[in-house]
Amino acid sequence: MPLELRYAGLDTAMEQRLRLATQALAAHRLQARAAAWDGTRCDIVAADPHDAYGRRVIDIARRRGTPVLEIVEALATVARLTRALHDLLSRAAPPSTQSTATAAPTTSASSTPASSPLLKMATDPTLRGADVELRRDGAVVWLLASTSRVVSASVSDRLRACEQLASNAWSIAAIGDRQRSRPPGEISASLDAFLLMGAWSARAHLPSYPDDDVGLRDWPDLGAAGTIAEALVVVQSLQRFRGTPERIAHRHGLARADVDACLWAFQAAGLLDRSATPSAVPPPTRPGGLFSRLAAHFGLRVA
Amino acid sequence: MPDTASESLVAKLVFAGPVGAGKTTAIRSVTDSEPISTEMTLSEPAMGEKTTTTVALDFSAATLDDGTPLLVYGLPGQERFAHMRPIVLEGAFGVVVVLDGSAIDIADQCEHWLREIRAHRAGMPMVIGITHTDAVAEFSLGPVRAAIRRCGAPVPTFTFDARDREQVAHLVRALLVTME
Ligand SMILES: Nc1nc2c(ncn2[C@@H]2O[C@H](COP(=O)(O)OP(=O)(O)O)[C@@H](O)[C@H]2O)c(=O)[nH]1
Ligand SMILES: [Mg+2]
Repeated sequence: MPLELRYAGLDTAMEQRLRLATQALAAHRLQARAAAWDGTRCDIVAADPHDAYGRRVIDIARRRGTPVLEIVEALATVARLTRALHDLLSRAAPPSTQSTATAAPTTSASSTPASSPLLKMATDPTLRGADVELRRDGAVVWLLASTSRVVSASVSDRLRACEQLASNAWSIAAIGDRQRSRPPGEISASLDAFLLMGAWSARAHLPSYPDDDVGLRDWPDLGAAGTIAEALVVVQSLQRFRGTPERIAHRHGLARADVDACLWAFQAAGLLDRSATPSAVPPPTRPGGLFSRLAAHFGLRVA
Repeated sequence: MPDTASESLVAKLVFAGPVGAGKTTAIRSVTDSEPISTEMTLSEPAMGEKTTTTVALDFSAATLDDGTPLLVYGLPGQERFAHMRPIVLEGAFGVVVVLDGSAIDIADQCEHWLREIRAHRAGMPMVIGITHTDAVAEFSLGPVRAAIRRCGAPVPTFTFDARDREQVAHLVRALLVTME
């Protein structure tokens, strides 16, 4: 049974690209069929958030828990659309469904629970910027905003907590003064990279980041998050211009969901600063013709 | 502001920092050949008397896609090498400051390097990479961030493992992203 995709608020050219991308999913052993939104249940919705009709359909889909692909400028090629669809479907569907492509993805796989560590740290005033403890089945992971480190007894505990950061698999609580002398272990890593990777892998299911004007003073410690070059662009933008998530996405040709994931992570890390003013220092000189060659050499994809 | 690199036929990148921080290791991670340590004997007329110093500089290279050589230098931290800094920094497109996360005075070192390099060229693109944090359970980024704020403009600051090619490359990506 093919997966049913419905689209809304797209122009003809974009509809065509989306249809091609839907067919191209066959290369990933995913069978899907695209048609215009008709209000009935489907497996995935693709819509333009800048279009009034598209926005309404996105709202309905989100309420139903249907995975949504927001069609933004950065997705204006068949290749990018295909990759975005594939990413979204792989996250929505259990692995067994993916390889056989027989069953539809669970439409209940929807938005991130507000009780997930990621959203709690970002939104609960008693946990924001605090040192907290995650717990699951005897495993304990400390997320220390005071030092920007994650501490655990093993690397696998940390990786598991990271993968499940946007679910409610782990309980979360502030670390009390009496506990502090007994850390769960000796393994220490960057908190900022941990939060970013956790948010990034859940970005198809995260709620939109509020349309606030945000800034950032300190660079998040992203040395261990090397696969997410988009985050570097978001940080640089926040420091130079401030802006709402939508403006940042637009300015840099990034998907809105990618920007949102970065902002949720930076906020959970206690780094977002609503009063930060953009750096007045002019950007350093770009090494002219060398820049694109250096970017290519070091694996930086630039628009 | 001089933009020597745009006209030159080579790209030059500098790793700077104290001894033992991980400069040579990081250079090895981003180049195609084993770094060589160049011993240079220099006279130092500014000292008033005729003295000579031996300077140890790391050097290695890689090649960009179109054949442009990427020259990578390791700049040692000792004050007695201070006179070498302008020479090594000249024409570089950026500097990676490598600091040892297990050093107690890391925040002072950070401030020292930022001021040194900006004194040479105010707009020099920089990133800070902090090594050995895997070995220090109680490492905190706070004091380093405070030092950066004292020095003015933000600088990408990552903890990283100098032995990991991908993490070193990511530091350079952050350096490139700051050049808008
Ligand atoms: N544990 C650990 N060791 C490192 C790291 N980076 C470098 N090292 C080690 O630190 C030592 C000194 O590094 P080296 O590159 O010679 O430092 P340099 O004096 O700055 O050139 C070497 O044994 C490296 O293998 C790191 O991030 N973690
Ligand atoms: Mg060395």
